[in-house]
Amino acid sequence: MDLFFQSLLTAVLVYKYVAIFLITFFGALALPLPTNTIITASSFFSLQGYLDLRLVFLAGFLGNILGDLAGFFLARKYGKVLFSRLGLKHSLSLPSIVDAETKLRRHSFSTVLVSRFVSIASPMVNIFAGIAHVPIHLFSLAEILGAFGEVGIACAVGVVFGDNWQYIETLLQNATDVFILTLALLALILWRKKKHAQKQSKKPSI
Amino acid sequence: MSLPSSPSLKNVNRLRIALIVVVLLVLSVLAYQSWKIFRRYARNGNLAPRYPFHRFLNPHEDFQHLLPITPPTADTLKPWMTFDYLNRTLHLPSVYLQSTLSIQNSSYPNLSIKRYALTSHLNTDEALLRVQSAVRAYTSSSTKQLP
Repeated sequence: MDLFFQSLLTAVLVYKYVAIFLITFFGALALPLPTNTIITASSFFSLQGYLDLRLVFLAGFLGNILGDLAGFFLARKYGKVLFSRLGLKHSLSLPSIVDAETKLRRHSFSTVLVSRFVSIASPMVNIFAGIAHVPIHLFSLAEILGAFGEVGIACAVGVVFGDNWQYIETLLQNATDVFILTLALLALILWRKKKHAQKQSKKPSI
Repeated sequence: MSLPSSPSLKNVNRLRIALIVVVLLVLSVLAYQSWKIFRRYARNGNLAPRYPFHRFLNPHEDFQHLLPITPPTADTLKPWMTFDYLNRTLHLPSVYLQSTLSIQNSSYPNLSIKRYALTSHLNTDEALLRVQSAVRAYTSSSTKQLP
């Protein structure tokens, strides 16, 4: 367990629900914080009678939703301006980015919903959904459902596995890494196949 | 008849294949590591559910009675734990550790063992040992008093 994570656990023990809310809020916004692990640990503390499980869930749920919505609205309002200030305005008009934006708008609900369960991807999807002007009601609905599931699972792991939560979390983190890499690999192979098929169709038949 | 591919296209293809191979390698290492961790935890019984979840569904079950599974002991103390947490989970009198360890810090009991070590100019392990021995002393004295 690293020192930073230990400090977060101490913060949860001292500031309780305020700490859970702030950690999940900033984790959902953009910071790389172990939000699910903190919720799992907090639900274990609630088993010991130190915290209230309902309030742990509520703080995590609200923190997640508000953090994700803040990221979405900030990107919606200032995303393109920020990109142009950074000199990256041109990159937003690249065909691949435009294509990704169109696809994200078409499958916004499922993309946002699935990304809630992959902590690393979630803030990125919020930013791109904001820039792509995904409809607010769709984003909010997917966000609420996703956050409910994500926080619920994290709480359930803490409750079911009790003081074994640290072992389960380690395994879950490894499983998430394997899952993301497998997705990346599949995407790479599909992309390669698509490019190959495009090249074949462009070749003049002799 | 297929046209011969240009050298730049060949390079791009090589790069893509290399990328796929690298991702595959990392994936294999991660999957193997995860499997090893899983086997180790499973062997040590670390993955067993600590809580019979199905009992939640029984409306006649006393929910509160099931809650704490393993009461914390002096051996399971960690530097990130606060004195408030220790007092409450180990059922210690709120001033016991403060007086036994002569803690002057005004943040007590919202003070972690690590912070206590820092403010008392102690090594973290040393501070942890002191807290552990104080907890053990209390536990043994309270069990002696039991009939």
